[in-house]
Amino acid sequence: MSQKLRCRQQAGTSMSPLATSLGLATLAGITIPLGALLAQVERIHPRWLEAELRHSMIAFGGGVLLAAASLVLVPEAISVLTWPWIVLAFGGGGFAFFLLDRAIERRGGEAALLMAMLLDFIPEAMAVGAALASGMQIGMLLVLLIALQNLPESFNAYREIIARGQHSRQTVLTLFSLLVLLGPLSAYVGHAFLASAPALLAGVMLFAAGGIIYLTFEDIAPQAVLRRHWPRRLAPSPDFSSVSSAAWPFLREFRRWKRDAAMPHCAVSGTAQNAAMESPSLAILVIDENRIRASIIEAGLRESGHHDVTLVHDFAGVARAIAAVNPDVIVIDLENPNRDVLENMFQLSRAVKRPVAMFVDRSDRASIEAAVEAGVSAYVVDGLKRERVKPILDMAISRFNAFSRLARELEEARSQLEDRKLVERAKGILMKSKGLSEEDAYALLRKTAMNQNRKIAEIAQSLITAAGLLGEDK
Amino acid sequence: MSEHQITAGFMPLLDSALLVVAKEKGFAETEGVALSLVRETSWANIRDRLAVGHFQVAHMLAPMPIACNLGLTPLASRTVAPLALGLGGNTVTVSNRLWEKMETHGARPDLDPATAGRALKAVVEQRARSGAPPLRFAVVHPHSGHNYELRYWLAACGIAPDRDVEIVILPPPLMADALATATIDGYCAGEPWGSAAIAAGQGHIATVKAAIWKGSPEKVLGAQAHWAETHPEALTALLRAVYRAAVWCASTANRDELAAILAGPAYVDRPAAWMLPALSGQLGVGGGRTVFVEDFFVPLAKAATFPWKSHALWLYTQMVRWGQIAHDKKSESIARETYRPDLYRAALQPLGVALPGANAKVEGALQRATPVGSAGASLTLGPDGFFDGTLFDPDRVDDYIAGQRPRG
Repeated sequence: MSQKLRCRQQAGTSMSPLATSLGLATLAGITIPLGALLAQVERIHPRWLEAELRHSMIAFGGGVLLAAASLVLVPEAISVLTWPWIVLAFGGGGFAFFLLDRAIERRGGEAALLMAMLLDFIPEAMAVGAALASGMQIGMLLVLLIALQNLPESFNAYREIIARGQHSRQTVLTLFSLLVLLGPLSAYVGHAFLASAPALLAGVMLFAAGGIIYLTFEDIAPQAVLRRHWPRRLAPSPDFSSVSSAAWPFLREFRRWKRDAAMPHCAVSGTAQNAAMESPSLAILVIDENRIRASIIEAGLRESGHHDVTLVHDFAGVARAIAAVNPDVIVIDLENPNRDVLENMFQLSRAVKRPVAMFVDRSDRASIEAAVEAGVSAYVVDGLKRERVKPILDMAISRFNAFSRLARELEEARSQLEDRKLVERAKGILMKSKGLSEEDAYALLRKTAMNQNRKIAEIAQSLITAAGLLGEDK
Repeated sequence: MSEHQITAGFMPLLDSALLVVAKEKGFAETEGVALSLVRETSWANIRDRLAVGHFQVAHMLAPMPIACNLGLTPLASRTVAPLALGLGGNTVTVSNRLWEKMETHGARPDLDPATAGRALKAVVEQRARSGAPPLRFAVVHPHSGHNYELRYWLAACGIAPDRDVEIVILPPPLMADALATATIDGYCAGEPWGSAAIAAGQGHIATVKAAIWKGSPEKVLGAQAHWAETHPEALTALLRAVYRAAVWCASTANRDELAAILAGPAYVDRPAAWMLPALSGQLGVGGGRTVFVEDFFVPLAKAATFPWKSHALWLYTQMVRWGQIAHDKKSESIARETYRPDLYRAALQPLGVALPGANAKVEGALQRATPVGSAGASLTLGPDGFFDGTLFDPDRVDDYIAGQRPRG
């Protein structure tokens, strides 16, 4: 922050406008590699924080971007242009980035995420260039907002790219660093060509605003939908939620239409894409008595383009659901005691009309191991292509793992809290019965624990039990 | 330090006793085996986790390893059965309502399969005439002793299992509740899940496995074939530990302690009183009556841990009978080779254990307990008869299959 202040002072005094613009535009992008760096070191924190932080960051980033577009770019441009031009420039921006996004998605593959990151920064850099050309104040505000937004975005993008395991950390970091250069480049273009043409400048701003708003909803809103299944504190910043709650139903439909048209987001290889494009989307039945986990899986499936997803929480409804849905894939957790019942349904072939095999491929040992490890099993209709089902199973596995990690860490946090309560009570007993100070009481507990090679909480528990028997803990 | 780390999966059932005792009473440790037991929620989990190597061995339904090797399961891995985990142990329990109707047709609370079967047939016919839906019975798994002995009993009493009644699959812990809510009319399950319905006053035991086919196979120790081949010493050590556990379980002096161990939260997690009927043979059959059943559950005597090839083959004939697989010589051979008395002998001969002179026997041939030729200590086998008096000759599988009533 102090560095930024110094920058501003310098901007006001000695530096030339061009140099300032270039410096500020660099600042706007510098958070991209910064976010990636943060994503690397963030493992220091307890992991359940990580999941929470991620969702908050996504929502926060979305709010900031929308604020940038609606509070800075649009008002600035509206004062210059007439309505037909405003609509044309703004709508054109949205449409242009929709087309670009779709092209990237069609190509699919590992490059898509990197391209998407690049795509997001293009209108932002354009906006920075244009805003800096129109005046330092607005430019600076925008730089700040965009820099803030890029932090969580690159944080997430970095995590996702690394998770896919195709690129090394070094490569991704380098690519992200290269993106930074886009900022000063745009600033230079803005300075050289736009500063003297206010109408063109306003047009570029609106074009960029349209692009930003489209991409915000495309990239960020679908992830933030998770908030419906999470505690309230994960809800995004107010400006975002009010905008999104109004726009959400429409955008969701739009997105669904678009996904169906463009086909699979999760396609890993060309063949997978072809296989998926040849046939209609898969009907997936998720059987899980744990509603939260079921929702997490459902969200994951929908994000990766599967809309024909049915959840069943109560096993009694499974036969009916199978008859109604006629699923291609059935996902069930291993804790469910009714797996034998389900498998028998396949064997009888009364409820299920088509033959069913387990997992993607009986010979795909690694997948099977990962699934059993994660606590999930999947059954697929025989003859379904492996490439079509593998991403579904992989997704289920990763969501199951994420869920159990979360549950485990919540349990740890809960038991730590319990432990602390026990220690507090034990201290109280010691202070009362032995007339010790709080510190001495704690020291005594700790010493006893060390001598007996046990946990302090265990000692505390024994003490409380003993005191209870002796009637001292009243 | 133990030389062998072995993880075994088990289901919360009374006949997990041999594995549980091998660990709890230190027999595994004595043999140099660090045995971890993992309780599972479904047989499918046991099969899957054995397949991916989480478990090296598991408490398995006697037909399960055969079904795995025949490729009848959604996920199959080569499995061998080097040891049986006792004989018998199941009940056929019916709802109070059904039992009342059966009583009006001559059923008596003596667990006799023939009279109970005749009474059931009369009820089934009466329902068919009045247009009532068929009775619904539950078993724990399609490839289970429960499924085959229930079907055997029904068919032998003139009731076609796939036409005259409905047979569904249910997890054992849910069966007593399903009976109480009239979701099912009866079920065949391992203890303590039959006694659970008696304890709740929700059912009557109509007959038992030990009466339908005396001395019949129920659970085996299934071992992942690749692990067994590459870890012969670990397997030998485990077989010895489980055998010693069987000796301990068979002693009446240990009965209460065994019931208490099994009742523990890590194992069956149900009252110790629910374990005692199976262990003592003093079976509460409903309505406050208790019937003594000889050989209800046999952990050791009569070569109860020996993996008879004739058992494997009979189970195979039932898979054929009920349409789970088409009969051919190759499948028959796979079924026969799944049970591995050779591994049993190799592990236990040095202990002086009474070993049968052969790997297969004519099932149903012994009407009473009979001393037989054996290596080592003396051995008594039988009775091992089917209630309808038929014989199963493992050398004449084709004839037996041809002579079985057709399906449905």
